[in-house]
Amino acid sequence: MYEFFVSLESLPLSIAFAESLFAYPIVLGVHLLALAFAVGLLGLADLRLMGILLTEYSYSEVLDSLRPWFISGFALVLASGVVLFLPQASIFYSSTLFWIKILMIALAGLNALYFEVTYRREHRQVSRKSSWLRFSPRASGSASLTFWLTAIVLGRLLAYF
Amino acid sequence: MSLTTIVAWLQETSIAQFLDGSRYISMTIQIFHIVGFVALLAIVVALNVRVQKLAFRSLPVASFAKSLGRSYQVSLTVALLAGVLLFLPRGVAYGANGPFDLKIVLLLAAIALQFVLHWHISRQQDHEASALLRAGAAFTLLVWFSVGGAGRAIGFV
Repeated sequence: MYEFFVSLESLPLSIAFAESLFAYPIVLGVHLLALAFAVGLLGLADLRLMGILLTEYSYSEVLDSLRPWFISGFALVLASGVVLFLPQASIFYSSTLFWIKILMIALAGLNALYFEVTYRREHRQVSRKSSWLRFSPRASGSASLTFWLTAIVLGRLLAYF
Repeated sequence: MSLTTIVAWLQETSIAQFLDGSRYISMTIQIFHIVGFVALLAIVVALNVRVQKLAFRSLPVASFAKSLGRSYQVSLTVALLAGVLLFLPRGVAYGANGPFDLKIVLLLAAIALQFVLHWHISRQQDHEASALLRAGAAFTLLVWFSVGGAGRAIGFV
């Protein structure tokens, strides 16, 4: 596994990125600004699910309005994140904080999947008596916000440890 | 007394020395600065989505602006306070940093533009914003993103 991570550093993209003077600050800037679209807008939707913000609007209006924007944001965050990761893959491999960050992102993804499944079932008014899957917007919103904020904090801490 | 003298004096105060005492303090403040700014940008983006008639059209534009007003104030306060605390121990170095000066000019412009924009949108009688307000909102968003870009450049110059 470690050898694989080392080999990623030899990819043409990794080398070109590492040798460029301006690529790192530009891609890092894009990564951070895209977070406003991704985690920022998802955070607004999470706060709606928790009943804190935009309560004049229905769940579906908030989610349907913001979904295309935060999904585009996540695509940009992911693309820029991969470019930042490749030239230093072996360093990240040895970092516990990095793996906890990846775990937080994975948990956030699973939480989003669970929410989407239960949200759609709720919308179709499928009988929930026999199901252990319960639609709980407040819990889903809180979990999402917690996982993503932890991922951002860990991402910032990676610069120090 | 020049601005440089004041900044140098601030850097010697006990609070500045305390903030400079541990990297954990600096890390914690940086996290608040980033989270506050990401939240602020998200609110400005969401307001633009509504003003440009892309979503949230069930209620008038003024009601959308009002419902995000408090969140904008909170996120701006967190980002600004954390920014001041980051500045205090290193004011002299920041003063000699080009992108920092640019960031402050853009930040003041963005805050002023956002204030004027919010004032007008929240008093809008029509369901939708006028063409002038839509253009103003797009320009303000661009200025906010430039603040972020200049802020990111501070560490690299």
